[in-house]
This record gives sequence, C-alpha cells and structure tokens, in this order.
Amino acid sequence: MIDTGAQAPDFELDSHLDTTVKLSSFQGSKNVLLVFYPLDFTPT
Amino acid sequence: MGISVDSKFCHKAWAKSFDGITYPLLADFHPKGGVASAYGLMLDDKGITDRATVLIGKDGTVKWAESAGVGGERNPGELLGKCKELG
Repeated sequence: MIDTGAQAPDFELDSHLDTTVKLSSFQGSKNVLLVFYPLDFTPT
Repeated sequence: MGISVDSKFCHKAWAKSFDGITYPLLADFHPKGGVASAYGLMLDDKGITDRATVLIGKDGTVKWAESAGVGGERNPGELLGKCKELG
C-alpha cells in the first residue's frame, strides 16, 4: 500500500456519471478521498 | 470517490440499486486494476482490489491510507476524523 507522504499517482478514469475524472485536476483546490473496494454488488 | 475494477456500466447498474450515487464511481477497468496497482492495492491472485481508503491532500500527496482487508469493514468514525483534520 502506498505510503503516507508519497505523491499520489495521477490517473484519468471514466465514472458511472459519464464523466472522466483526472486526479491532478483537483490539485490546489480540493482534497480527494479514494475508496477502493473489491467489486460492485458485493457486501460493503 | 469510489473505485473498483468494474466497468462504468456495471457501476451504473450498481448505483441504480441504491437509487443513484451522486459521487463518481471510477472504473479501473482497462488496464484492469492499473490504478489500484499504482497504489499498491491490487490483489493480482484474486483479480480484485483490496478494501482500502486513501486520503489525498490538495498538494497531491497521500495524507492517510488504510486497508480494511477484502472481508473487513472500514471505520467510518476514524475516516470522518481524518477528513476533518485535513479540513
């Protein structure tokens, strides 16, 4: 798992809202919470 | 934002089952788990990602990261506390 203090690897991914999300676009303006989970339709 | 190796179409169907989800569910679908791998959270033997939470600050660095394990549960109280600390 990535270390605290490390640069967060940038990415650009499609979302279910039909938007494309680029992590670095939030830099300087917003904090980001990434919630990784194993699979859709599985227990939280 | 949520993120898993599912496609956005699968995400859409899943979100619909909750009457919609307003924050983005990201499709780490192709290459499968590419982003999860970059964060050290891809479980290659299982083909899925770990259940983990990563808080990234405005400066683009990781402020907090924690794994609950695939079968584990997150701690919402702790998570909320970390978000509040960051402001």
